[in-house]
Amino acid sequence: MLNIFKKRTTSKKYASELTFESARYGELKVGHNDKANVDVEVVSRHKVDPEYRVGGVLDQEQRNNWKAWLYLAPVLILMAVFLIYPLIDTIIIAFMRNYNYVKGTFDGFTFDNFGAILGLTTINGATETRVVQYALPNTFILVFITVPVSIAIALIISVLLNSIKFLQKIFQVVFFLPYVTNTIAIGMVFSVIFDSNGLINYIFNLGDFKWIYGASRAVAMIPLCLYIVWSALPFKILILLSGLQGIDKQYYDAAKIDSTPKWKVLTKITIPALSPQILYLMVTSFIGAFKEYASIVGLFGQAGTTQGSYELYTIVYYIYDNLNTNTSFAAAAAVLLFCIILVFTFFQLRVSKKRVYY
Amino acid sequence: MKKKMLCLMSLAGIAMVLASCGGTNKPTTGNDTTGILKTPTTITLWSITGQNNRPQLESYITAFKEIEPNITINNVYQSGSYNDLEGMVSKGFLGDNYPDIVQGYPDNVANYIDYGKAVKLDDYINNTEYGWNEFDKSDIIAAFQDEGKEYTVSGTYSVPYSKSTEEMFYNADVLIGLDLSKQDKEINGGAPLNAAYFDTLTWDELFDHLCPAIEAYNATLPTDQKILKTDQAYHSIFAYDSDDNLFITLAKQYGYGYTSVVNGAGSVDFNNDGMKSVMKRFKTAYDKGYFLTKGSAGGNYTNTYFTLQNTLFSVGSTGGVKYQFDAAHPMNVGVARIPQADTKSPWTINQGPSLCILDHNGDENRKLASWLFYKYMTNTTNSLDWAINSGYMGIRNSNYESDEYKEATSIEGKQEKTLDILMAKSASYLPKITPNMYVSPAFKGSSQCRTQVGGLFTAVLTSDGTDATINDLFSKAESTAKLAL
Amino acid sequence: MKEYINFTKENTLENNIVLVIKEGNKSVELLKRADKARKIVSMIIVYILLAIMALVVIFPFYWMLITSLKNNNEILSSTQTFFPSVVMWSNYVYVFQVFDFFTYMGNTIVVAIFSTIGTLITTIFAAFAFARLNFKGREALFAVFLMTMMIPGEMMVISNYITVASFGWIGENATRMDAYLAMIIPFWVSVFYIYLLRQNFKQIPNELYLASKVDGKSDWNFLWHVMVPLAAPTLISIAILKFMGTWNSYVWPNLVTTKSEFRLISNGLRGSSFTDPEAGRIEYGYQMAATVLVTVPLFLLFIFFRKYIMRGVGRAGIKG
Repeated sequence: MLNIFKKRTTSKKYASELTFESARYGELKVGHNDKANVDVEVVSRHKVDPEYRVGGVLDQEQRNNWKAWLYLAPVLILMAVFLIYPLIDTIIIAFMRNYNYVKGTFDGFTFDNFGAILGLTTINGATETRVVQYALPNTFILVFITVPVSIAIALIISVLLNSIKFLQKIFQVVFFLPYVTNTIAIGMVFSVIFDSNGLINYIFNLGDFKWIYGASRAVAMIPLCLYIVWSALPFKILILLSGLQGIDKQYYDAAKIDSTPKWKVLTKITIPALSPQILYLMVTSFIGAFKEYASIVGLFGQAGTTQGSYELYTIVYYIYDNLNTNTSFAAAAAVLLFCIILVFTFFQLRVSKKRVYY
Repeated sequence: MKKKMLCLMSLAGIAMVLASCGGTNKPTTGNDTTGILKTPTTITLWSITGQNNRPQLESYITAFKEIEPNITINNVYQSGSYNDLEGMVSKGFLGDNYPDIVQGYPDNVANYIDYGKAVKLDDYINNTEYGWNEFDKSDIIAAFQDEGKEYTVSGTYSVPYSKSTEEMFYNADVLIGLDLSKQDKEINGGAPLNAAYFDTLTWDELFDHLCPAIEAYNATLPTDQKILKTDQAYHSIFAYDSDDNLFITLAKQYGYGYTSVVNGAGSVDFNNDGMKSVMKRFKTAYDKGYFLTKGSAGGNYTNTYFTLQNTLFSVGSTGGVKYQFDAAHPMNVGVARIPQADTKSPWTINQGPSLCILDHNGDENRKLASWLFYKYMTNTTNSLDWAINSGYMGIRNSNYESDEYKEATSIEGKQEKTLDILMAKSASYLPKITPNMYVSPAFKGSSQCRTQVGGLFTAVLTSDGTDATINDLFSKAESTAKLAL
Repeated sequence: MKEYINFTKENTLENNIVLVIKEGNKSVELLKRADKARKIVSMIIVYILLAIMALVVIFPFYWMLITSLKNNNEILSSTQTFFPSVVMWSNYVYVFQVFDFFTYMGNTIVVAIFSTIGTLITTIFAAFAFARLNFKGREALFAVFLMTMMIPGEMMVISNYITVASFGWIGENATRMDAYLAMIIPFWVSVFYIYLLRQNFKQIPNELYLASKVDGKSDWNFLWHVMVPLAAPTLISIAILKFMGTWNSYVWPNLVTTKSEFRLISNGLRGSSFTDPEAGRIEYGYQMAATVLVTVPLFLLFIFFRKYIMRGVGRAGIKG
């Protein structure tokens, strides 16, 4: 918490007239000194004296133990059936050879699937290079471009939105629009706009530059990233805006009085206050971006810029392609993706521990 | 004893009734049967029939109820592509949520066979009581019957339903009567071009004689009178819409390999020197501006350029004839067979989904009911009706020979330069193609082969054309195709 | 000498504050006017920036609308037009005819409402447990929850389909209720939203909890009378997002509904009704018209939802 008015002092001047119930070592207690009209926070530095222990507070904390499970019960049951069971199932299938989900048959357990999809072993006499050459790099490129960019833009838009009163509601609605429609339908619109006879070339006088069909891989990434960021904005703006509306106005008033420059207000007040939401967005957006698939189908209709090409493959696209016919490979790729995301998320959470303020 | 006698007598009675039904003047399908199935049975049909054809399908279902009152058909229209439909059916196998009759491409059926759900239809086809009789077997177009057998296991697993093929459409206004003897005396023996010339066109004739002559002729014309315009983003003399179809057809026409079934599994054969030389041939034609495909035209359908006179030839599906005509730029469109490698053994591809019957725990009644409905849908009357009205091909030879068909597709009394006359021309041309249609085998991964060769063709056309590049492209395509097997 | 507020005196913020600026020779008036001018300029810049971004966001929708009113030829032609040359209202008429709009919309609304309510409840409980209650294995369990987000949905479809089939909710004899259950129940738990709400709950100060404990109130009371009202903006967001998610979901509902009358509205977005199956070409005009028809009700609901609920939500003060 940002301490603007709080002065740390060991003097007991204001606290002396107040009584506090005993607290645990290090626990914070709040009181109000009416005469001096100040709020007092006292941190206990003494070990708890048994005879001063107030019944209830401590015991409650331990009693929470089993009640929590009551609250979680419905969620856990549903999760176990619809989320955890499929997760385990997928992991198991990844180690089965030639799993056929209709017949439920497989040819024994193996580590081979992973080798096969990474091109270390051959499948039917050919090597699978698309995962290592296209799917993995593309996924990483998309993740590391679209997530930071979309969060940054969403933050700017949210802050701007929060600062205006007139037309705020209308702008909010407008910025939420991309979430309202279906990815694939709007993808069609984007592909028309970026068509070689389309609007972008018309406005910027680029002749018949190929953005979508027949474009090179690097060029095709541009409309793809733009589209992903465009679709990702509304959700982030919504979350950030809700978060912004929950920040206490007192902080801003104090900053105004201190005539803090706008930039400092942003970095020292707004962003820290929003840090829980930003962390949430980073974790979930990265996870979501690693699973990118629908936008490619929406924009290109296929995994590449021309028929039969796989230049724009992503890991989930590979999974989708192989789901029905080569379920084992799809599961192996899913497990591979899972591990990548797991490591990455864990890393993110570690790094962010010190920077998130609740 | 008494019961036995009763049974025998009733059976005899039925047999007599049935036999008498068989005798009319018009050739009929294998014993137009009625009331064969005694137990009330409900079957489900899944299709992605387009809006225009739904009333027709529904009329067959209603009429069928009269004939087989014990059979109820539950007709469900699914959405998405045929592959989406296959996905739904495959998953449906897990939850008993799949139909009895399903529409699909041979690739889809190949997967159903792999799952052990596709019903082998030979027993039904050959059944004396309700199968196809001799007439049927000779009447239904051979290529369509063959397709139902081209899988990795022997037997018939699919039967024809909404078929189409490809035709070459050409700008008759410009080409018919065009005299190219000054540019090349050998064309059509020195006479002006006529329909017969286009009927027997070969690739060699096209690229070695016709295209250079047209190019030369076009050059002599003043800009505003050119027969071949170049105002669109893409233009050429000859355009073939589907890259994949052309590759596969060329492989068949020239006799080079594409795919085959070896030891009960698919084999990828298209990476051979024969096809490479064919590709080089087309690449040269492309470089000279004679040839174009959808893939090399920025992914745009070639008929867009055909209707604007930026190409003079457009090869497209017979199911998409209406796209070859633009009311805003009306012209006379001629119809011919696609060019061949050798006119003595012509080949054209056959396309379109078929029907497959799926097994529900061996329930005989459902299988029989499905077969009976299919037979009804494709008897001479209904298949004729379908052939005339649906935009798909008639699956029976008798369709094309019948008076109704000839009348419906006659070009007499139809105005020139209209879509009407073009559709009539297209439909009446079909019987010239039907004896020479081929099929490719279907197996797990055959659709990926098709996708790869289509992409390969486009890539070759738009590449630098060197041997090294072409070899590389072929290997890559072959490799990717093999992964899906 | 800059002197702003004098804290040494017995002042609180409620008292009058006199801004004393003794710097240079500028008077307060001039500075105030300069300040105001700066504010207006920055406001204008803000509005312009927002307007530009809003235009970029809105443009594809505009394009979708005009495409839905165009003739198919015009859509595919090489020259693009900003406004249809012939306004084809007939596209919408056609779509209405072939698309069982009201049945689908009815199904979608029912499924969406129950999905949203169920999700809100499970999310509130779970987030409360993770944010406020202490129990053994809390962090580990939350990590497991997060892990379920890391598997792509496509892989889960098969297992869930088998599960749902074993409940008897799909199959040829499924009733409308079965179909609804199959579409609603599997998605009642969303770790996505649990995480979000947990973050929000964690921001609610500990003091409030302790204060309510001191007052002798139970956890349950605290949850529903303090936390939920405080987290209202987030809960509304979750409700809106979940509702929209259900409206637009396509793959799963299509898979588990056997009969056409159970289908959801998203079915029309990839309809075979708008593709020419023989030639495989999409009729863009109809497709866009269908998309507009599917999107617009959702959009209107969204506007209505927000206004209505925002009005009713009081903003409970948070102590600093």
